Amino acid sequence: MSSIDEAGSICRRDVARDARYPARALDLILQLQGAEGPPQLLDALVSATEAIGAAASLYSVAIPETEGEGEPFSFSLFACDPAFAHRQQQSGPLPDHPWFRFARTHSSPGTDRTVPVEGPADQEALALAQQHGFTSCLIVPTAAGPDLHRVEMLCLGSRCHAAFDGEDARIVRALARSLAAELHDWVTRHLSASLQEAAQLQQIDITLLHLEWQGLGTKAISARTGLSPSAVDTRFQRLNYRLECPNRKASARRAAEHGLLESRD
Amino acid sequence: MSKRSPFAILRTTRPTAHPRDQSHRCQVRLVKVRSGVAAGRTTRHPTHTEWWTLFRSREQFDACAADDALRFRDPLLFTQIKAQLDDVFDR
Repeated sequence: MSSIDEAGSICRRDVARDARYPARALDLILQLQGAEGPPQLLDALVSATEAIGAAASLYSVAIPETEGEGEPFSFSLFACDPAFAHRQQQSGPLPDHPWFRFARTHSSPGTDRTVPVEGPADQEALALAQQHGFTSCLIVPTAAGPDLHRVEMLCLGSRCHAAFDGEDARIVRALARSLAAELHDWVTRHLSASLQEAAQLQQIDITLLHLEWQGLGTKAISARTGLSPSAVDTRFQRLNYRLECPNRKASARRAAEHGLLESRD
Repeated sequence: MSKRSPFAILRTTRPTAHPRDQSHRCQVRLVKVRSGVAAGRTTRHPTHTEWWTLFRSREQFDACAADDALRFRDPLLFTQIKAQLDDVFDR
């Protein structure tokens, strides 16, 4: 099997000359949904990254801290030289990276040429990435949903300059969007299941959180669920404790940010 | 994960305390996958982070360890991970 570094030594355009390459890459992208857990998802991401013709990739999800509404959270997969992952973690939080700032403020993909550099810290972060297979890169932001603060992005890297720019990179950009969407679906299911298991949430708890997220008060929730108003309040107190949140509003936001309320919207 | 899974969890370290901050918890998991060993690190407080990286060879781990602060912050955890990776890559 060729390594990421070996794959990175050739340009994406060299890979794209093979007419069968989009179908092969798409096949590997679709296999992501079969991953049993994060390690297998990372393994599948490595294969898909190579099939697209990129040297490296990084997928990351961040749920920033909002005022009094639970601790910040991030989940990242580094399909690249592990030295980059370690050095990046040492240099500062990934959500502060210029790629993430781009993802927070854009809905369409962009390349390294469109990422604003706002100071020495940005320059250092991008220089570090360039040393590890991200000489040029394509950043694909993923929308988390309305009213959510969650930020997600896929970043594909190449050892060639301007590998993701221009008309002949259209296929790569389309494959990258597909890859980002598949990762979003998998990670949302994973975060949702993890939170449900960690907080031992039952179906009635999820219903309460969903109604709270819709902005309903105790009386309205009581009428919808058949629980007495005091039972609603008591259940929320327990929920807040298990979700490690200061109040029911924060609990509902936490559940929504982790994708737990998506299937009921 | 089922017992039939070809991907065995090789090692799960106990959460360890950061020497300078007892509320900081770090847990490392190593899992054998097709292309190498996936290493997942989870920390809690002040931020809950989970990140995964892939070691394709022992040399890649050695290169990382050369400048990894974990080696100095938590020598016991570092030794545990290195021994386990050596064991996997020597098979």
